[in-house]
Amino acid sequence: MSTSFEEIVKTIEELPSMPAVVMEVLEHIDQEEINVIQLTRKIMLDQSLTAKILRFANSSFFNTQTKVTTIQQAVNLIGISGVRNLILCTVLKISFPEVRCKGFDFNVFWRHSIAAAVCAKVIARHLQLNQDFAYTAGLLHDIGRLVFVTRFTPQYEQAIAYRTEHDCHIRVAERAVFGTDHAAVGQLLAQHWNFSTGMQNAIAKHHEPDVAGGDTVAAVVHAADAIAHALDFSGEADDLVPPLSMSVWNALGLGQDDMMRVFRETELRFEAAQQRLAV
Amino acid sequence: MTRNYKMVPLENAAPGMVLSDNLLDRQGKILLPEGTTLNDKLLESLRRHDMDMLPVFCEDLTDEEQQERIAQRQARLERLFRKRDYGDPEENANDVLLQYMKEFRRGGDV
Repeated sequence: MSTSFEEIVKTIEELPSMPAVVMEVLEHIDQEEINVIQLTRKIMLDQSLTAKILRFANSSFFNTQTKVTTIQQAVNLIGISGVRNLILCTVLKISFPEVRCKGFDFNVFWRHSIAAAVCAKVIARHLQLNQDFAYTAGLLHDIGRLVFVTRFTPQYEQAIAYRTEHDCHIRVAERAVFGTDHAAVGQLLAQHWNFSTGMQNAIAKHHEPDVAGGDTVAAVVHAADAIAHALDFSGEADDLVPPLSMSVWNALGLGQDDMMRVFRETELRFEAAQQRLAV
Repeated sequence: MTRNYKMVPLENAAPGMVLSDNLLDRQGKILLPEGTTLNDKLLESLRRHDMDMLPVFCEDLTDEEQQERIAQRQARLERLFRKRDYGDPEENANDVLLQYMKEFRRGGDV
């Protein structure tokens, strides 16, 4: 039961394209200024998205006195980047509905993605990079795994079994079973969905960023991924910290005190971020 | 960090608890400094910020409990970092991260 690379490419090409509204919010991700009125109009065209955002804005999390009834109010409350990430998570959850896959826990997957996102944002702030972009890249870095687990479930169960048996990193196991890994598959998906080249690069290179070649965001996500595992957000007994590149570590240039702050702040902000995206 | 701290959800935070760490806002600016004693007014204003877990001091543990807890955390870290075949140590920073993490886990109560 082996899967060819062509088969994976074909599966991704057959995935529906991103809804227009999602492309719209992603396009603006690198920009400082964003037209809020235009964005809210676009969101309102999508009823289910509107309903989700309003439900969330009215959840106990925000503790508002008055009922939020318009997208404009919700955007004011949650913030543009909050709305963007909420939309992204919603679309990912719709595109890749949960399946039963032995050894794969969707909750753990999201916990890790959110932890990496939070950590990437904290690191980006220390380095004065675009924090929102880093956050989203962290959130999306493992989307290739969602393709594997939902579209190639039996084979991914094999990969997970291989991982357990050899106690290796999941990437090694994926290569053994599929001949490719979640970073490469994530890149294909990012291409299919017309993500910006910056975002594609961050997803594709998050395990092997070429620092000298300018993979800055990929480098931030690379470190955030390792730190999120090391902070044990997954809680899985056999979790494993992935290899962390020394050239990335040196390029970040964060000393021990800075790193302690990064660890602390990631833990502090994780729970809030998780609730915000748990829709 | 000499004393123990724990993370409490904002809804469980009570007046009288003392912050064990600087509380930062979205931009990383200090919202409330370490050592602040929480009161109703502060808790109300924290609900309006992007913050729902607070680091507060908790009861001091006995030395023995303290050592036990530290040992458990260090063992867990060793487990998470158990792979030693990452390749050339010159090109790999996992050991550095592990050392930082051990230092970090010596401090807090998470």
